[in-house]
Amino acid sequence: MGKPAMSVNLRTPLSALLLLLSATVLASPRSAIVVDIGSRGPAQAEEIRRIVVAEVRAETQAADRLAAGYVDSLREAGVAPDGVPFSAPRVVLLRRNGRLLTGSSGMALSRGGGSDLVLQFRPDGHQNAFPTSYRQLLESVFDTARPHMNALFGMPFTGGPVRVDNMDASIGDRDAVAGGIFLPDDGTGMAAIWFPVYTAPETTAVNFIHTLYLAYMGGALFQFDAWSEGFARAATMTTVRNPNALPARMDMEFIGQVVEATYDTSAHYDWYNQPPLANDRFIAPNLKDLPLPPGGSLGGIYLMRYMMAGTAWAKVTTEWPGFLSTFLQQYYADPSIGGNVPALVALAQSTINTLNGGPGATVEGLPFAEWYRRQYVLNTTVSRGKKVFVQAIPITFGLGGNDFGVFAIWVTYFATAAGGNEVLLSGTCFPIYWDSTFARLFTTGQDDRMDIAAAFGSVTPNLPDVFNVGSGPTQWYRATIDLPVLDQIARAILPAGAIATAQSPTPKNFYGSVIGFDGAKVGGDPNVTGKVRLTVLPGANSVDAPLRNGAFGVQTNLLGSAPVRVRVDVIPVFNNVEQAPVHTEFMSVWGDRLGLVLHIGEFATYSPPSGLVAGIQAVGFPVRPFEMSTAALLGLPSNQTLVARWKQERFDYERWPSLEPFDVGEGFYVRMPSAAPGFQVSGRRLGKEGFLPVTVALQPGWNQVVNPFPNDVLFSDLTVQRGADFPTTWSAAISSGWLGTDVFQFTPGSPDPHSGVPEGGTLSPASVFPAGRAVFVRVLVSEGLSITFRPGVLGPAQDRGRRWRPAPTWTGSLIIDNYRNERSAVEVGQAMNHRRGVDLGVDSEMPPIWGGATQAFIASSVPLYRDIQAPSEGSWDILVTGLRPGHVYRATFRLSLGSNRDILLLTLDDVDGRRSYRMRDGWSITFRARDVTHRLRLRNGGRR
Amino acid sequence: MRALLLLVLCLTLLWGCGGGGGTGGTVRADGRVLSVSTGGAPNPPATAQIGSASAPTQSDSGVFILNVAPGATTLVVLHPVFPTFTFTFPPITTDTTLGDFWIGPETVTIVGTVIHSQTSEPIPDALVLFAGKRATTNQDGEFTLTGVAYDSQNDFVFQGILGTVQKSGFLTTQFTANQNPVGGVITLPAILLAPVSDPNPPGPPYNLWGVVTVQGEPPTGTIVTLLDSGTPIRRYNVGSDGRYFLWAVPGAYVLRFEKAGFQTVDVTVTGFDSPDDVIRNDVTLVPN
Repeated sequence: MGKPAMSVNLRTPLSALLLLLSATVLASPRSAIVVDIGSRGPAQAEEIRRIVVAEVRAETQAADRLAAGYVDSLREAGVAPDGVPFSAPRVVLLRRNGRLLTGSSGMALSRGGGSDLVLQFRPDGHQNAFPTSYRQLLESVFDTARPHMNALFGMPFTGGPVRVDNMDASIGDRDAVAGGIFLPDDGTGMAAIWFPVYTAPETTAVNFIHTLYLAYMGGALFQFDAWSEGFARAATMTTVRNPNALPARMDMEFIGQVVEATYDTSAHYDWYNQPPLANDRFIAPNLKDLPLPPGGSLGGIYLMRYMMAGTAWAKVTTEWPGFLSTFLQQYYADPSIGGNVPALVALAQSTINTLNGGPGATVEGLPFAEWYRRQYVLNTTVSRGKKVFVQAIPITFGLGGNDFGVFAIWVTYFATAAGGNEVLLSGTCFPIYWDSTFARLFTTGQDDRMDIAAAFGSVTPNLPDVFNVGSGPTQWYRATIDLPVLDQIARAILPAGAIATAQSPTPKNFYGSVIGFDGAKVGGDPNVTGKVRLTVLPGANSVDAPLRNGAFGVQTNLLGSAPVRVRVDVIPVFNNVEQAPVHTEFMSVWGDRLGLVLHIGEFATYSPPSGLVAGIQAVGFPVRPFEMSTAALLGLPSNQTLVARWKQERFDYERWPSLEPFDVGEGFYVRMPSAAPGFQVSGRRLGKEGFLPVTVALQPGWNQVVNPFPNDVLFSDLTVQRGADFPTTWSAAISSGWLGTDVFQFTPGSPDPHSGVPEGGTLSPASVFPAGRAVFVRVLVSEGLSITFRPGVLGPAQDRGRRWRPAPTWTGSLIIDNYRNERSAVEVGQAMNHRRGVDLGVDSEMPPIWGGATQAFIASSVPLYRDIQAPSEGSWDILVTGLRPGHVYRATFRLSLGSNRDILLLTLDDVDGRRSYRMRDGWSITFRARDVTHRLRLRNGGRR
Repeated sequence: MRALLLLVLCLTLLWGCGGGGGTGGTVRADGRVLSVSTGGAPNPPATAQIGSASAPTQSDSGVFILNVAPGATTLVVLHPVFPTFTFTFPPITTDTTLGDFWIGPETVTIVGTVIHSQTSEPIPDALVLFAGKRATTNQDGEFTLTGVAYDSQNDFVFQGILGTVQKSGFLTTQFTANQNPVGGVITLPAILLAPVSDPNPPGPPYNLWGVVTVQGEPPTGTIVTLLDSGTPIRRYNVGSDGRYFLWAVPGAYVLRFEKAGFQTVDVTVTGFDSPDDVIRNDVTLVPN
């Protein structure tokens, strides 16, 4: 006992060993609670204990209370049985004289060295002694589990004694959060586990094993929770699901419920794999530091992060059962890489190659690095800004009446601030429900609005049975729920009617949605059907789920209590003949349910046609980048990254690094120090032309938006949603005063004489939503709007063929340029039923004045870019600004609608130059700027 | 479990219903009371009181539903632990959903100013709503919200509450109160309201800016040059508004202001450490 093990990993090079011996401490894992004990030494153990207890209680109270709300919600939704707490054992590191205590002396020689943990309990009568029977239970749990743990996780990083203390009186609310505390050094030079007394032996076993796994990693815990907590949770769920790894007479059904409710999200991992999970730690510093009184919200998404991380690593261990032990033994040889994700990822690939017996090993069909970057919960990037996370839980019990697709929809709305703190936001979300044809569904009134307080809001819609007529198979369908909150949005894509309905209440356990092929469609070609085939690997046992209206569901016994690797194929069937699969995915799953979203062509690389140019530009991408660090995405040092996005609520730009990462639909200004012609972005496409439109949330005022598709989208291919109103056309939204008349796109100006790259430019109206170019859209209604880009998906019938603004008799542009790349324009015209001054339905805002850029506007009651007047009028005063005195400029008139016969006698007065010219389509005049501004007047009067 | 869910659904249904007439000469007023300490329903429940009608808040949702006399304008929320909170609203004449009302262990006062986004002129008579409290701006655009629920131990819920400012002819805007209270008072930065008729899209992003004043002349034509170790890296041609805007990576720079006939001014840029720092330097040019 207590004697350091002498075994050394023989593969450890001497230099690495010396490095280990000389290393003082490892950096602490992000969520470890660090307690400063000043200079108190081992002789003051009791005083240290009091300090630690006080600190730990304060630091865990908030998180525990927040967890209580979450667990209550799980119980309410029928997901968690009564009496199930959330397991969250914690690590506490002591800091003495400014130095972290990470383990006993001599630990370096025992690293991964084959020595077991040896539990030491206090003698009876000691204040931290357990009742005898409970101590025996703990001993029994470890004795039974140890061989399994050693095989799964490898030998502990630091073998030897671990003191196990009864801290029942000091550890927080066990109704909410269960778990012990692991201290690599409790201040006496000894590792310790502090553990409470649970009533249920099953709760004891789960939490003790989880805490022991943290002790296995000991002083080599990774710096990121995604790894250290993820490993411990994956190992715990594996161990406790194995009845041979637990003492006899454990209620394995109860343990199974505990694991499914609070550890394993593999049933809906695909649904929950969303960007807000990414972080370097799972509990934000501000959420663990603050005590909370009873009651409360779900506290952000930290519990979901814990579960998703454990599930992600369990996927790896399902495919490579020796992964954890092999990886850790190699990692223990050099734990200094514990904060180096690329090195850890490389080691993981090396590990599965070793297990594979050769290179090219994969996880879920992908090289490790590619698999890793698709798992948001494993992304350790700390990205700032507002985030919306959506959790959908199928309701499969107590269905009646017309219940068809009942889901609990929970939204978590928060913002990551400086230091990784998370602000729990309040707000209002107006959920939008769509069927598989992207017609808007209306459920019941209470589902149209979601009030979010302290980050949490929920609705429980019953997605209606909209396609079934008479007899025949149930026409389930792919339903899409958009959840916009101000300028952020989350989306759930769910199989309505394909899990359990009032008419067919027995739940199916393999279900989901397909994007890109709908299978049998109501109103579609009757000779076209489809199926989704689940095949358990490595054998060929399979089951087919009928694919109807983009959704599928089937009950199968292929999914059960053991972890399985499966292959999922989307198979079209034409005239009853199976075709080759159009989509295949591999995945590992544990448990008896599997819900998926199968998106054909989801992963893509987008290359802007010209890459990124040098200087300022307004861009956005039709893929959600895997890379969540904006600086890394652009290939720039963080402190040299200039990216900004307009935030109307601040009436200012948000600038990197305070800015959220790039995402589909969101436009940004970027200034590149030099051109990046080969720039490309890899990530996920959120929509699919012809199948899945994309909705973008807009807040009142100006919004920087980008087309979410890789090709231009016409205004006629959009719908606009306001609250619970029916979707309307772009033109109708403008006519109704919901939207500003024009969408402005940015064109960089001439190079700055000193920097040599454009530092300014002009905004001019866009005739389409251009691909890859950010535009400004103005919303005029107080609650905001959402716009849905739906190329290839039919909108409301009345949308088609309608012009998006009243047709003027004629319109034309006066274009000012310097014969090179400085350019600006205004648009004028005449039409019936228009008036002088600002006619909001037709006249248009003025692009802003940019430093160093030429800009023209029509001087009216307000400066205008476009002014359409009644035919009886016809005079426009135009002010050109941003000119270089002494330089020659050209003014060209071009008709964009109508012909020369439609206009009257058009005259351009050079007011400052005191000359007048007759103008026709394509005609130009020149003028020399005497100042930075120049006045022109365009007149149309008297017939030719 | 299902029963619980149905109960929540029923309550939510009641919460979501609006319109219609009252009962026996009363109208229905509903709303939600939330604790600023937790973001959830107060626990123990509070009592919502409008006139002579009162009811406890639902323990799981904080919702209250009252049948009140038409014309009521005041809600009083009583809580066994928190102080009593009083909220006002326009006279209720029909069934009305009043919104969210926040209570907590402490109170703060929030002061601020609402100004025009283009002219920076104060905007009077704007309605400011925050945490169930409301105020109207005075002639100087100033408002004061008193008795706003607060919890100094748990301010991360408070900081997430979204306030709104409304004024006819202007776009509604939101704000949060992220500042720390000083002496029980939170002073907000100026809230800008953009008129619906304001036609301008936002100007370019910048992180160095300021206003140039030229004695005796308009500022038009002033040249602003950004120098990095003496080397010019940017140029800005100032217009009639006198403002300049530059977007640059952090550094130790000098801003040079030049106009023919006036003394050149050099200003050292300080505190520019991160791309999201926004540095303002105003200068006045005097004749040679």
